[in-house]
Amino acid sequence: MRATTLIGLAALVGLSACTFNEGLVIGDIVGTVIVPKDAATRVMPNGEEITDVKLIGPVTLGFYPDVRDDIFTYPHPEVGPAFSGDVSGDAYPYGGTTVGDIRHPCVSDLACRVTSGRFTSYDEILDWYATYYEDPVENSQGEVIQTGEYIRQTCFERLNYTSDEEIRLVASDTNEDGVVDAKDLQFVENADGDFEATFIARQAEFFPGMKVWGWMDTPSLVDGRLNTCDERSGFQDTQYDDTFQVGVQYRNLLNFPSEYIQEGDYVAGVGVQMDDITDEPVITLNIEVTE
Amino acid sequence: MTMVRIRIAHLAALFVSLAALMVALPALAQTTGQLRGQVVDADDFGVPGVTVTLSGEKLIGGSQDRTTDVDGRFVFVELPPGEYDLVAAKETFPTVNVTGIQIIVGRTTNQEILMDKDVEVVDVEGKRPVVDVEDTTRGQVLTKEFLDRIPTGRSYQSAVQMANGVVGGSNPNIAGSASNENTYMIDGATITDPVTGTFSLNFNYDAIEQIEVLLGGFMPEYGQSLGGIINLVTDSGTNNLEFDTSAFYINGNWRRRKDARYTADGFQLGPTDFDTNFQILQVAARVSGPVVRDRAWFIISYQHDRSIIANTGIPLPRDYDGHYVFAKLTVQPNSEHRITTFVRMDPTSIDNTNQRDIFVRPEAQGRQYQSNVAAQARWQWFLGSQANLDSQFVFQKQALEVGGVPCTHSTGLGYHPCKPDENENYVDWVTPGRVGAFGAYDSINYPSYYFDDRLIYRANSKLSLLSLQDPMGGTHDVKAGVEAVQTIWDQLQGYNSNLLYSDLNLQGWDPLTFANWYRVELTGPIKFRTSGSQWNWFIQDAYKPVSNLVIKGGIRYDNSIMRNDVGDPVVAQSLWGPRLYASWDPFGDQKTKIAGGYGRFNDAGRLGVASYVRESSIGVKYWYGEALGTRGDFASNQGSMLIYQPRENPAIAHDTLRSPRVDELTLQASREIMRDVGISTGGSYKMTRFIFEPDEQNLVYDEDGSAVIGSRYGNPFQSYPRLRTPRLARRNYLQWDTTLYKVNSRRWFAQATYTYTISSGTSLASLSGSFLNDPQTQYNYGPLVSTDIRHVVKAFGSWQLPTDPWNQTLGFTFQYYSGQPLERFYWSDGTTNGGGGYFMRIRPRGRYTRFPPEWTVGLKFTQDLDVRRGKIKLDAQLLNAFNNRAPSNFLASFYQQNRLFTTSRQNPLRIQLGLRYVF
Repeated sequence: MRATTLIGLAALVGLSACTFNEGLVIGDIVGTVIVPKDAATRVMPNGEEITDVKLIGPVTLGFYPDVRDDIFTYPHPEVGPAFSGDVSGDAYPYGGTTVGDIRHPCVSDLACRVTSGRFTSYDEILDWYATYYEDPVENSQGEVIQTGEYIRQTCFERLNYTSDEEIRLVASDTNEDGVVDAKDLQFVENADGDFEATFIARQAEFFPGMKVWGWMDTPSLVDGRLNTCDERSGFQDTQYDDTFQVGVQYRNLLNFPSEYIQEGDYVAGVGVQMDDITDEPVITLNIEVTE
Repeated sequence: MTMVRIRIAHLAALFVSLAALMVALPALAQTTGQLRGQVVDADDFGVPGVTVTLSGEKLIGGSQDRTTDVDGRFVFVELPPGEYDLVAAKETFPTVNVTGIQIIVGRTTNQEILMDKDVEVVDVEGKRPVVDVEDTTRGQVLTKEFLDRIPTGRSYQSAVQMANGVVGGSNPNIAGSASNENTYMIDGATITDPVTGTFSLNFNYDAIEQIEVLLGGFMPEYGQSLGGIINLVTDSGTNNLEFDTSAFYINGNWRRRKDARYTADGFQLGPTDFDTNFQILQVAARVSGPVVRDRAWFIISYQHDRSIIANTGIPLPRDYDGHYVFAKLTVQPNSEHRITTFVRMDPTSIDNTNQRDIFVRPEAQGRQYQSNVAAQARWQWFLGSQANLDSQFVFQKQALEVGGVPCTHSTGLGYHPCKPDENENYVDWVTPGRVGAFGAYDSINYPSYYFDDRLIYRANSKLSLLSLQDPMGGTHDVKAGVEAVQTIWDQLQGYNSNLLYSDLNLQGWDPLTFANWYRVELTGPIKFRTSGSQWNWFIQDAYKPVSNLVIKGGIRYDNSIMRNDVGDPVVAQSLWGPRLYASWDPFGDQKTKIAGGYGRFNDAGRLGVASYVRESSIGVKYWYGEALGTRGDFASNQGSMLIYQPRENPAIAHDTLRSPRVDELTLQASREIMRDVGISTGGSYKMTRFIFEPDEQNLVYDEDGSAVIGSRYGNPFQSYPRLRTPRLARRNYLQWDTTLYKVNSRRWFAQATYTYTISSGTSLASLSGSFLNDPQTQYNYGPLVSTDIRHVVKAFGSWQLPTDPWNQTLGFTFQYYSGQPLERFYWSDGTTNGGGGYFMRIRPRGRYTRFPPEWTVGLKFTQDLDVRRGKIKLDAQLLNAFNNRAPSNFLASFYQQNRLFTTSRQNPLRIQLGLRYVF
């Protein structure tokens, strides 16, 4: 067999692999979420009205076959049949993600009360609850925590983490300007005074025509708790006689949004249709749920 | 006249080959070497018509004669590895005797013979091959001298660790491959486990003649291995009746180091005294000799291995008890036919199989019984001196039985104690076991059973036509082969009484406070079959247009279908593997080689892949236990069902699967820089693509992958793996070796190699089932595959002391490995919320740290003592002489407080003492 013949065969076989197509469209879906200024403006328990990104709770985003206005009083993903009157139908999402999530809080007093990407420092967490909720954060002995460093060290001890990036309770210097400030938070104020954040749904499977829809869980005006957080779940932390469930998001937030959407939460008014995985949808959470 | 005879032989061989095709026959790798040479006169002209006679202890059928051609050239093929003598004679010329020519499997030894009329009789020391200028493979052959004189332990798995490009354990990563991508052969017959892709058997060390370790660049006759090839070439016996019995004891408990593990708050995990235990006893016997002198030889070998080895921190050692039997008969009734048959088996039981978890009580430990029976029948038909047809049939049966350790009334061992009313060796197949979680003990009984039979029928045939004259000039070595393989895998699995209890510690890490977390009711047992059919063919040519250039080309076609338990063809593929290599001897002096080329290697599939998406499954119902009841929130749910999983396997295969493949580029240069000393530098770049990789398609995660927030199919507690071969599941691997070596002459041999590698990719295992690519994390996370060991130095050598007639040898090894990367990843916060069950990698992913470097030194001394009849051989080895104990594996997870716990370390200092009697 001649070498030239073999080279030709090798080239043919080599090219054949280039034609392989799994028929799956999978990739990172990137987009923008806009939360109106009103959603981040509240009269706090101390009587002061403020506008602050810390009032933006976790934003849950889902990719759905359709979004309809006639199921609830607010737009909601299309659902499957309900099997009994008091059970919601499943919305069967294609995928989704969040902007901000509920992290291990390190101290039980913060369980289900802290959204990632909203605070610039541990001291700011303490100040937030002490000042606006008039409810200073305490440790498991009932003592008021005086410094943010206490939380940080507790995280290191409990989780054996070695950096703030692993703990993720506070922002890191994402824009690499040398300081951790409001510009490093997930939501930043835009020219209209609203708050914008970029979302990334990693390795999401794309289906033509699917619609991006989501909602924001507004922290409780009483104590800052988040009702999308399952306080009975998550890792059971038992160190230092401080037994508590750390709390995580409910596992079916995307399947049954109506179970968790409450008065004061904000939902997207429309589902933004995607015709290509490279589309960069812009979702505006412009509808406040009022009942 | 010679040419005519060859052509007739060719036609006959082709006819037989076609007939063999009709009955679905194979593809044999090398088990022999060849000798080429030229007889020249004092003026360097070839001398035609010289009678060249080759004889050797390993050459069954007696000596062979060739007559040199018009250029004075001669060739002997299909020579069993070993040492040979050669006599060249012609009237008017002096007779030349060449002794000690070494033949190496898969290699060509070149021997030039000078016939000077001015000298009457010439005795020449035979050539030791330093540079095989026609060889384009990357790899090396471990000769009998290596196996006898270098301290590597006494198993082929430990010996191959000294070959370049081999890292890892007994199922090594060869040339950047996963540990289940290698091919294992005995005498050229594939014996790789058809399910796992790992080695399927242990083998009698004293019956091995040579071990061929190939990293890449191999021609189609070797098959489709994505990784390396380990080819064991066995001894066949000689005309001399030989008996060899030996006993070796290896002890690694000489210098203990404490290695206890503690929790963050100081709680010691396990008993106080639980350093590594390491003892091996090996007893072996071998007899070989003639049945009919020069016509029929036999070898029978038996080896018993008993090893008691505990992983770091494991209180009960793994107790291995294996018996290896090998019997081989080689018959050569005349110069045209050679028939070889062998049978080998390795019935083995392994007690205390759970060496991963320290929280296992003796009564809950497992036993694994395994046995691999392999039989080969091989027929070599020599159609003249330059053509042969090599056919074989191989039958292999692997059996595996897993259950509880039989109980014993003996005290002191710490093994599963019998209850008073139980007989010795009683196994309780009924009582459900209790499995501990998060620090609770496994207790009561081993909870499950598993029976597994794997049958392999393999038939193949290879036709070799050597030194064919090309009308345009030059010669061709053409080989073609065809093979058919049928594999059947039967499995039976279930749980004792279809019940299982899972316990949890109420007080954190205190294992004395365990309580039932949940109980599981299971359906079953289940029994199912997975099967596969493969056939392949290849054709290859080594073309020598001029004497100092070889161009090798070939192509291999593989067709495989692997069906799951309901007959669905999960793997169904037709694969083409072209290879093209060249080797150039620029100075034409047989001392220099520049070689390289390209090859594609395909994964023909494993039954493990097909079985992954089987339909047979055990259905389960989870019920709350008392531990959940103690958490007030769940008190009202005692006795309630937690989760129901129907009797179905959620894993599916994506509609479009293709075969994983490797594209490899090789380049190497070698030079004999002084007599018997060579230097070689070379490397390969391997691109592995389309690795079998399941992703998870049901659960939807939050932004950092730490918690589930939805499910595509409505069940937020169930993973739905989908088997894929995505373009992004890949590895890239660059290896470059530089070796300085001296072949065995003047009493010593040595080799030192520095290897630099870069390994990166997304997936190490070909089918892990562990969802390495979580859907919410990025695929491209840098050089994290564990083959990324940047710097490796390996050296070995041996010296036979000048103390004749005392035969004393010294040997040494040195190995250095820079650490492999370690990714830090966690159990996510959300996994206790039901479901879950695998590690989540929380972004950012990346290299967290590297293992510390490892280095070891081995030393060996042997001494022969002449006794009245035969010899006594003393053998003493120090393995890891400096007792280095660098960690070799870590465990890190959220439930280990994300600390790095060392789960295993380098094997300790071991002292091996052996006594051998030979006559």
